[in-house]
Amino acid sequence: MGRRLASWLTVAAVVAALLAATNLGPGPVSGQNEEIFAKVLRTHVLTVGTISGNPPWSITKPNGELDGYDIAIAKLIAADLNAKVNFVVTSGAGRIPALQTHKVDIVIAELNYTGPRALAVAYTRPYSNPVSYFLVRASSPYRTIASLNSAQVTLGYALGGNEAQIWPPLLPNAKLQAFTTVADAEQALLSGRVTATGEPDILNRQLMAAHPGQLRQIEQPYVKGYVGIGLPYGDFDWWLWLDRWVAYFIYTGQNQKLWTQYMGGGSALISREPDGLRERAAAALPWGPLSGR
Amino acid sequence: MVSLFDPALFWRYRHAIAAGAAATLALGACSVLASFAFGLAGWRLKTSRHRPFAWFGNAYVEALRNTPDLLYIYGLYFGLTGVGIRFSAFTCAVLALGIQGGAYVAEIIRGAFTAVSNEQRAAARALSLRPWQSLVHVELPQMLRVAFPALGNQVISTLLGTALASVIAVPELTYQSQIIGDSTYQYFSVFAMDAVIYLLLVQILTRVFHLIDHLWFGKWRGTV
Amino acid sequence: MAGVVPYLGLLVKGALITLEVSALALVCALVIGVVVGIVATSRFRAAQAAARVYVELVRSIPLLVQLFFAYYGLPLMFKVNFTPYQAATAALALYGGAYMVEAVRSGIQSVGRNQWEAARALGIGYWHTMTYVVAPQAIRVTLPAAAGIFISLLKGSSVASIIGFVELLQTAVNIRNTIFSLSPLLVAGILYFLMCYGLSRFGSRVERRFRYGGAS
Repeated sequence: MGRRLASWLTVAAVVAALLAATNLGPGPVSGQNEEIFAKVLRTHVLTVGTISGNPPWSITKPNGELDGYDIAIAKLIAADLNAKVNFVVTSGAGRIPALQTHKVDIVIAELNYTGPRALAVAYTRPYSNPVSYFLVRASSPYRTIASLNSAQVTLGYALGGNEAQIWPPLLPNAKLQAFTTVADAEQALLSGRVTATGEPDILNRQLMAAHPGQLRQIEQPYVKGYVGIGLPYGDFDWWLWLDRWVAYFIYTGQNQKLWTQYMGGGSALISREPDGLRERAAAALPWGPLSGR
Repeated sequence: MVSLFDPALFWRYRHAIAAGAAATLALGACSVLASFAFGLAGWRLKTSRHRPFAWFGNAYVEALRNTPDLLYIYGLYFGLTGVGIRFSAFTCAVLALGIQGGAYVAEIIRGAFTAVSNEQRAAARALSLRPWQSLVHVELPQMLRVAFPALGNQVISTLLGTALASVIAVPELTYQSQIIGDSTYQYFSVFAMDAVIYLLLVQILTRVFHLIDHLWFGKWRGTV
Repeated sequence: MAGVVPYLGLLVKGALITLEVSALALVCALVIGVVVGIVATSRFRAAQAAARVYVELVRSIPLLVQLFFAYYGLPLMFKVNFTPYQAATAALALYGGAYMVEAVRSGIQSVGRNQWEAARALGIGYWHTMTYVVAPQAIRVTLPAAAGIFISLLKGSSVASIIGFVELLQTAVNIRNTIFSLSPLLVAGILYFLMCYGLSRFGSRVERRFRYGGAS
């Protein structure tokens, strides 16, 4: 018994020492990332983290190339930096770790701002407020967002998005269920295990076309958040340049032009919301202590 | 911006973690019971004298031992709705883990019964014990003594298998850890805590099994 | 049912990926098992304890959690990045390694002490004894166990689908999401069965060949 205990204590001591050693080094907020801007200008290569399969923000064309609204923005940034773009595709949940481990210089992948994420990575000002719509089965009785606010409702989503921060303030009584992928959440909706999922209009229409007659979209948009470019903490110059770039990108109308080209309509940044969208947005976007859920 | 290991995280999410641990235990208990039920049935089938039953029992054991758990979890959860059956996620997980564990339990029981020598059975008959009396009073205790360590391992194996239920959104410990990790990005802390809790559960169970083995079956050592 | 026929090629490719990842993990597990196994049978108590702790850890934590730790946790600790393929191979290697340690240890211990003493009497050093006397005999016990571990790795690789690694199970699930019938999962099950059952038959044949009336 004593030998076992001794061996466990030894291992615990070794693990604690390892943790202390990796923690002792400076965290990401130090001087160690100051080189990103200088590095990009010097090597003429911009490493951009993005996701795939998120139309029309970024998709993979059949020939393997990436295309989409986010991709176009990345290419414009690279052009202004006189650099080539090197895209690194991650999963939704891998966007933040890719920045934390300095695998990429920026992330342009419909990265919504949430309080916990902002503790891990830095954001530029938003370049878009996407809206989403809830999708329910055609046979279900829900026709408004307010009707979904009941304990009978289960909302399905995929890990890696911001639904866990957005939905509880919007629909406090509904239950949430997380799945590994968007496909699993869609399957759960189709098989009746969750009441609703929430996706952009384009994705919902695709799904409805693939399963005619089974699904219905609640035609009330809700603000999904605001999307900015993500970058690691530590390089102020990098953040400053990117943020100013985004400001100019919006100011010159380039943002709206790209948005219309890829999204087919609507406005990239919502400044005048019809029918109470701002009230709903203000109610929906979490604001307050960064408590977990 | 955040450090690698943040203990305050566990306090903030203590409710979710506790709920997850409780769900893991509940799921584990039900799955273990299910695996014993399926195991007994499988054993009876496999040792039956009717050829089709024996073949079916054999097929069940071999099929389940050579295919992965996750296949059944996905199949029961997403696949059955195609034919109109919709079990809850918890039920699907219990069934999937039950039939997987049952194959191993059937083998363990079969092996343990063959360890009880035929002389014991003949002696019991000679003492004019009826077959079921011989089973309960003579064979079963000896079978249990032989099978107990292996059954204990199988119980732990099933308990560890409950982590797979997180993919169908059963709110057990690994699922809660994924949710917490998804909002806080403290993946290292979260999965380390996840691992430590499983470690504690398994170590406690192992000690308990050792204790039972020693107390109950200790006096049978040296026989058979 | 017939809807799965055009996808059969994809499923077989998935099975090959499963085999590849499991084989790679098995080789790594072998290396880990041999190294840690030799350490575990050495005279140093601390080494024995460390080996025991490693084995206990791996056997007390679900494979899925080990996989998550390898894919999400370790990158944060060591500031490296793993693809799902690398994380899956690493987690499976560590998982199989723990069982390999047991197999190697029982293999080494199956060689009777009298052989060690005889070797020492002949002036043969530790490493030479290990290589030329113990190892060939230890393989008799270790190889059948290794076949069993390979089967566990084949089944365990299906868990890697959860971190996005596309192997047989994930391929089957993707196809199932497209054509909505159970048949891709059935075919995947058959493929898993063929791989694992074939291996278990091979393992028992090897075991029968190696068994000749008890240990020396």
